[in-house]
Amino acid sequence: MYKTVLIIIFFSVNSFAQQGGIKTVFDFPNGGDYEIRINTTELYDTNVIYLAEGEYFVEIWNPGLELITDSIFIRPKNDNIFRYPVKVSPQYGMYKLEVKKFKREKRNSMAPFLVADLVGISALSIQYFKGWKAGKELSILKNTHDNNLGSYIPHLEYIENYNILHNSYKRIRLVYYSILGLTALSTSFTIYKNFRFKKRNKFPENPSLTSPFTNKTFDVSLNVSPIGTGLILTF
Amino acid sequence: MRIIVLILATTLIGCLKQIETLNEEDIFSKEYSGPIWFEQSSEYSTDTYRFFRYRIRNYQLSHTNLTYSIIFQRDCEGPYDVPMSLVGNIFKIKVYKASVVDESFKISLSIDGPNGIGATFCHDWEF
Repeated sequence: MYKTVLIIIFFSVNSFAQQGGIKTVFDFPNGGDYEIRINTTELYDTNVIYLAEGEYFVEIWNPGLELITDSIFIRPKNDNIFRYPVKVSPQYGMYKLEVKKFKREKRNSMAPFLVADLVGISALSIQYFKGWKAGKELSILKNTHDNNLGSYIPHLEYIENYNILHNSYKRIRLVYYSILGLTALSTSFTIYKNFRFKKRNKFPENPSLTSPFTNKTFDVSLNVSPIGTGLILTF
Repeated sequence: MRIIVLILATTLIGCLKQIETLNEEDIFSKEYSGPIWFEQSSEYSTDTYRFFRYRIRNYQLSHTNLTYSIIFQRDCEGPYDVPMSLVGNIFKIKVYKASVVDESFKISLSIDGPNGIGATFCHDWEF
């Protein structure tokens, strides 16, 4: 808490103090927070600062990215814009690789079960549709019979037709419930396998990056910012 | 994973229901016990008579090639009589107007078929 208050005061004092200088812009891709240090002493959390004419040593730090260092010379003109490309830090690069590896292993481990689930669900849907269609037809026949609604089919033929369809419906139901049972079993295995995988393999932890300027800790998230190259940071 | 469980649960809810076989008994059997093979349709009267229309509900009866006739007994007892007409699934019974006292009309209807008289049900007309 004490440290945070000090940092805020420090940033504020710097911002006010530099309002009278030459406008200097540091342009670099970023979707989150960053810190800029001038001459190893003055800290800024904005990329537009005001400096007096002269030479400066600049350090720009982004969590998850390599530290940018440069020597700049500020001249009394309208704009002093300094553009820098960014590069992912080795630590963050390693983390990304670990995450990829974790996901790949999980996918490989779960794939057979997920495929079985999907096959089961597809077969279930087909069987259900067949059953629904036969059931509907059967209900119409039953209703016609029980309420003696208009039909020209002789009685015995009617009964025969009904019985054939009824047997077919019974078969569909039997297959449907068999597949349902197997799919439920397969899904249970998938859930168990997923649970076991998570227990045995831990998701790689986000590297906690500490600012070399303020000792403040940042967590780097994997989300890429809308501009593509920046990183979204979470505290 | 959650999607699979959700689909499975939805499928379980919409499961295929059991459909019963036809409630099929031989209407001409002496042991026929139901369901009731006719239903009350409509009634009207003239100065002298009252007419009660019934509708045949039994599919077998409507679609059989066997010869049979419908017979009835007033007040579910006494001698048998035959309906005035049978057109399609509708048969009509004619009685003297004076014989229907206190809006009460009760008859038993039977089938006189190849195995004799059966499928008898006593019916109280609901006015």
